[in-house]
Amino acid sequence: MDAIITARGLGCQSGDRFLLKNVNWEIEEKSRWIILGMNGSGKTTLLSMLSGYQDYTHGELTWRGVDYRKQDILEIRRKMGFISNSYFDRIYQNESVMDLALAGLSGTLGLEETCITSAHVRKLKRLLERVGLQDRLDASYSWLSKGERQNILILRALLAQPEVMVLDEPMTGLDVVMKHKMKRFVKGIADERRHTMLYVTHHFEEISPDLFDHCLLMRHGQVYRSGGVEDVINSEVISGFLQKPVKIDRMKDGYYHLSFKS
Amino acid sequence: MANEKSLRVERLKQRAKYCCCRYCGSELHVRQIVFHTQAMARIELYCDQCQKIEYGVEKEAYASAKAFVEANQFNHFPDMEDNEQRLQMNVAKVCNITSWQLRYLGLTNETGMAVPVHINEYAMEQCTTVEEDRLEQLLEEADQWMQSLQQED
Repeated sequence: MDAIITARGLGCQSGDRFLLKNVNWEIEEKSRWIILGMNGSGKTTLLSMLSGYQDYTHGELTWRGVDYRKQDILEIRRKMGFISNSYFDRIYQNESVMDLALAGLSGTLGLEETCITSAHVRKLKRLLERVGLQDRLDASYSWLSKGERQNILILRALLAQPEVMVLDEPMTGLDVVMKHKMKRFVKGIADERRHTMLYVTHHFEEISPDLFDHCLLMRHGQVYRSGGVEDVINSEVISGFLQKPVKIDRMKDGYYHLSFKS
Repeated sequence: MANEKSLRVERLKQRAKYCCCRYCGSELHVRQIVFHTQAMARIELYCDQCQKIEYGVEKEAYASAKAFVEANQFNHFPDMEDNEQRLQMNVAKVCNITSWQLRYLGLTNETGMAVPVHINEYAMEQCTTVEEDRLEQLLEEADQWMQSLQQED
C-alpha cells in the first residue's frame, strides 16, 4: 500500500531542547497504528505536527509524497481528524461548542463562515443529539466535562470527513460508561477500515491486535521501536522499553494486560 | 499557495475593521494563536475582552442585536442565571440569527455591509443630543403633523 504520511528525520526544537528528534515513520493508507509512550515522550507534539497544527524545525514531512510546507496546511488539517484534549485544551477555553466544531470544516481554529452551509449546521445538530449534547451548542468549551469535550472534538473531526483519524489519549479522564462508549467508537472506526487511524495511549488495556495492526513506541522524543503490533507488544520488547521487567498477557476480550514482575 | 495564504490573512485584517465581538461588542484583533511557518495556519481573529477566538459580526448587526435583546428581554437560555454572561450569550445568539439573515439576503459581503445602513437611533433606544436647529425643525414637523391630523378630522 502507498504511504499517506512519511516523516524523515523529523524533529522539533524549542530553544535548546528537542521535543522530538530524528523521527522516521511511514504511515500506509488504511493502516491502524497504536502509539505508546511515557509522559513527555513527544507523542502529542508528533501528532499535532502530522495533523498540521504545529510546525517542525528539522527533517521532512510529506503527505502523499508532497512536502507539508508546499501544501495548503488547512486542507491537511481537514484530512486529519485530530482529536486531542491535551492539545485543544491549550487553545480553546471560552469558545462556543458550535464555533469550534464548525471550525473543523475549514481546518482553522476560528470560524470561517464562507465554507459552512446549512447542511453542515444540521449535521452538527444531529451529531450532537446522537451523543446527547444537543443542549450544549452554545456552551463554552471550558464548561464541558472531559468526556463532553472528547465528544465535541470527535464531532469536530467527523464533520470534515477526514481520511485519517488521530486519537490522542481518548480514554484519559473518562468515567467507566464513557470509556465503554469510546471503546465502541474506536472499534467502530477500526472495523469500518475506511480511515487510517493513529491512536495514542499509555494503557495496554486499550490495545488489541484485532483493532490495530502497527505499533510505534516513543521515548524521550525519539522512536524506540516500530513494527507490527504483536512484534512490538510483547514482554521482552516492553520490558526493555519501560526499563522494568513486565509481563504482557491477552485478556479474554482480546485486549492486552500489563503486569510488573516483582 | 502564497496568494491563498495572504488572502486569508488579509480577509481577517479587513474583517477586524468592520466587525466586533458577538458577545461583548469589543474590537477584534488579528492574533497569532499557534506557532507555524504558514501564516494562514496560525492567525485568527481574537477578542481580548472575552479572551477567545472570535469570528465576529458586523458592528451594525451587533448594535441591532443588543438593542433587540434589551428591549424585548429576549432570553434563549432560561436555565442560566440572570447575569452579564447570559446577556452576552443572548446577544451573540441574536447576532448569529441576524448575520445569517443579512448574508442570506445579500446585505453583507466580504467587506461588511453591502448596502448603506441608516440606523434609526430612536428605535434603538439611544439617547441623542438634539441641536437647537434640529429641535426647531422637529417642532415644525410636529406642527405640520398636527395640522394634517386636524385637516383629516
